[in-house]
Amino acid sequence: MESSDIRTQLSTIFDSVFHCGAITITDDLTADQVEKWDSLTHLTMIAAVESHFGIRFKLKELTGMKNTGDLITLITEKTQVG
Amino acid sequence: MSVSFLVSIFKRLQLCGDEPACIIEDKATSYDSFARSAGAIQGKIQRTGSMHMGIITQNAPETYATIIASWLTGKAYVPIPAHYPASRIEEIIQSSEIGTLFYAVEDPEIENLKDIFPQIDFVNSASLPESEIFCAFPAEDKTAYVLYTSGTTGKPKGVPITFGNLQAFMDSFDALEYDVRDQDRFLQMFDLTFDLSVVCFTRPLMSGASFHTLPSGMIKTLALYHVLEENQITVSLMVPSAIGLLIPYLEDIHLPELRISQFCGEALKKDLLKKWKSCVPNARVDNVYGPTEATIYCTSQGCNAENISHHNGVVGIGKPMKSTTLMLIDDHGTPITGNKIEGELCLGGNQLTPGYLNNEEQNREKFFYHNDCRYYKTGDLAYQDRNGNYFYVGRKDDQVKIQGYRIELAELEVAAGRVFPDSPAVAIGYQAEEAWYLALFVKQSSIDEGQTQQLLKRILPPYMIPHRMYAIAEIPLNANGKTDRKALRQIAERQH
Repeated sequence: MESSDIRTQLSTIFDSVFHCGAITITDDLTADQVEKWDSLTHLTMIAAVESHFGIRFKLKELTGMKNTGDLITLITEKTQVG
Repeated sequence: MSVSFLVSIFKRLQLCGDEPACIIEDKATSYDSFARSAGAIQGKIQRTGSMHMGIITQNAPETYATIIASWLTGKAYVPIPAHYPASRIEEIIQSSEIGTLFYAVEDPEIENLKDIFPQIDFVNSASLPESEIFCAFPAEDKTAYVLYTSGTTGKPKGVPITFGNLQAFMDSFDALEYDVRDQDRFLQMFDLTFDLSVVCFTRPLMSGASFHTLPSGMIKTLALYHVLEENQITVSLMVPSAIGLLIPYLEDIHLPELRISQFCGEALKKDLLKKWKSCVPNARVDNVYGPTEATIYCTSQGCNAENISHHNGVVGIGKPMKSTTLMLIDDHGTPITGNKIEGELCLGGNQLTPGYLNNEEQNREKFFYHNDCRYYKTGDLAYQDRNGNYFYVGRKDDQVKIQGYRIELAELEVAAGRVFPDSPAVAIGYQAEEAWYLALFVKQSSIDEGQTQQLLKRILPPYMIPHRMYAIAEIPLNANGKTDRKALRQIAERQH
């Protein structure tokens, strides 16, 4: 899957979880920049991403994730493997 | 009479040298360095007139050194998060009569506070001249800390805890025979405004062990797992929801080093407990319970047995610890006993606060004497089984717990009334996907969630801001003509 496709789909997921409107998904986007992005909503978002893309993250992968770019890289790797 | 827990810390600060006292932001601070910092801060504290030291809650060793320095000088600390609304900080400063605010790291929030409170002496605890550390051996009735909890009138209530209360807690903790060792690594995952934090940094310092805080800049739940695993934590106290959020990933968690795992602050579900126990094969797991008014926690239930007794899937809160007596009362305040008879849980004993700060009305309402023993009415409904174990059943009032934080819904509703002076508003707590959330219903045709949140943030601390807000045509009423919170809860759960 192309990174641009993933960004478009992530934008919809982020809006549904964070109620942030249609935001531009950049690589350096982090929780600090989105009002409702906290522990609760982060794990809700991760569950939504797993369900939407049909993938499964490991906890270590989640703790290593520094920004949305890392999330996109992981989704790319996992959807390619699948 | 001196407080031995503080003497133990004083001795460790002098003896433990290069051993780590704390690991904060992945950096170790030795006992030597911690003691030098505390000594320098004591030099400043000695020159201040107030008995209550305000401390900005930053994730830095100097923040903790300021707490210990306050205690060793015989004074109390009052934690204040810099991101709290200015009006809230002002209430705390006035109520606790704070003249000095210590902070550890310069940042824009501190500069902002300096502008708002020009009458306060702001002190950077990391840049004070060296001074010899000493112990003033405070009396048991002197205050060790003041924490502010949510209040039904819209104002937070100050809960002072004395050195004697804290000593009684430490005696009770040690009576549980955890056998704390100098090699232990304690988790400290709590905001300093939350009293569970106190045992997480105090108890390790009494034994020459270390405490480990969560790194900033990470999602808190993930930071928790990161520290538990990477730092090989041996003693943890957590709120169940912290683990509840990790349920889909529990099979990835294996923590053989963890030898004591305590849960507190929220109802612990037996299903979650069972899953967690498989992650911590070598841990003694306990469920502990207690409100801020009774110093950290005051009952304990061992959870290692195969079949744990529970009420509707929630693990019991066990038996009172050494310094606490429990009693159940009926609606008329009459003590009740008997197998599985429900009543309001009341706590007595040496861990009990002397009473709310400058709040006689609440003191009259919440504290009473029975057979010469002073008790506190928790508002928690509970019953006792034949074995003497207590079980939490629910709340008598509208207080809810969100990630362990105690929230009076009335306080949120008072704040909402300031934002919407002409529209009734009702706050409720609801559960979804193993976590608790806050929702606010306002009688309006529409609501701008983002703008309302911003306005509420000027009045309330972040943990009291509703997760969801709904405009509603009519506030539903039940058969008694009262607000039908159950119906609103169902709406929130459906729409989550």
